[in-house]
Amino acid sequence: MKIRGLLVVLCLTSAGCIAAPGGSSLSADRVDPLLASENLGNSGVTLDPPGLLAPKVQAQGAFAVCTNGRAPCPPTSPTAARLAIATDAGPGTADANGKITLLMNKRLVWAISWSDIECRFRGGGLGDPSIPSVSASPVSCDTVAFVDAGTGEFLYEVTYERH
Amino acid sequence: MGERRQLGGTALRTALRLVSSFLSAAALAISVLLAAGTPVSAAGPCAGSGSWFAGWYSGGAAPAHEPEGVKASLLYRDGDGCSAAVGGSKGRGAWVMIQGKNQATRYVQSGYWMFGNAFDCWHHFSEYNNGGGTVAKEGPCTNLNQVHVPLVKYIPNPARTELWIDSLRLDVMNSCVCAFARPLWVDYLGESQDTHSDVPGLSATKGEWSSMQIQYFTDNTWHGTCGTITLFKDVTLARYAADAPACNDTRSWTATP
Repeated sequence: MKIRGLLVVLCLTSAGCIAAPGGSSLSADRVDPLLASENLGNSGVTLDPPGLLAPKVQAQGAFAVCTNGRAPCPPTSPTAARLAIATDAGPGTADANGKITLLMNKRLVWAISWSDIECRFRGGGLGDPSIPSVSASPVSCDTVAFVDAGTGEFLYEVTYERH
Repeated sequence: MGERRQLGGTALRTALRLVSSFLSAAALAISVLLAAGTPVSAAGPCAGSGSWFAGWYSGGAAPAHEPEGVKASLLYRDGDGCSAAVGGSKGRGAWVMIQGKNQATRYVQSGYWMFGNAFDCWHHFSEYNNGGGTVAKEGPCTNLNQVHVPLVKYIPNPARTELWIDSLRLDVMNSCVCAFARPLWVDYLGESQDTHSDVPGLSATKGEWSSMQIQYFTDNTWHGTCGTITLFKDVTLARYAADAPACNDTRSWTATP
């Protein structure tokens, strides 16, 4: 995390360098509000258009979670950053009484996406213990990182198979 | 001409100063990086991709003790990655898992992970595949040398399986693990996706699963692993190692980094 920060500083202090280390950057022409509702594969995430809601944190600021050590992002440049109202009945935090507050329940977010990239999955379960397990890897995946558009807080990131 | 030469000379000197400044800054940054701890691994260049494990799994249990949920107190440890780990399948980490008997592609797991590219960090994760495709959720970055509680639990009404780290629910699989091949297995494993990467933990700082528990299929409640399931060691690379100080306490590490 510290290392990435140092590299970003070096990059910013060098003439003409605007990309983060590794060349990943978010192009302005890839930033848009979502125009139509969509479900993100089988991930359980639903995105709806933001309407007239405006973000307090701009897309480039949201993308900073990928370079400042707060989020585990893919190494390539994002395909898009879309402002959206996001809902997912899965991720949430439990209080002392067990009551769960969802991380995304109609929350205004930046959905920063990497489309059609190499899948980032673990190896799956054990097969025959004498043989290293290699799951049947899907051809490609979509990864989407969610960042609160009001605070810039990284929420989580989802990866699912393309069908 | 003289002025033009002077201008040219000034431009050249300016350019040289810029190059010199950049090289100095680069040299400074590299020395700082080396002092801070380099991300380039001592584990060497990457080799073939796959999945290699070190830890313990249950190869079946008496029907009354068949697991449908799993949890442990997991000590997060560091593990080097191979030096060109930039892609998707070059990670390492450790986790708990429910899986179908001998089924590599029917599983539910949670734990911690590092893919290894320049934008990655050690972080919590969940992942499952119930036959409808794999879904992974990566949580925020986390520190190492801390104990967290990864948890996979079945909720009977409505039937679902939840994937947790501590008080953070990362995902919900809206189906029952009962459809996986039976009897279900539990796993407490470290994993690496390259033979030149390390499973987390070293001989002096082992990765550890303590207070290990399973949730019985028969009563949906939690029970210790002592006297309920039989655990088998699974070490798929000679550099890795695992042991079990107790029947509810297992460890894994890279013995030859």
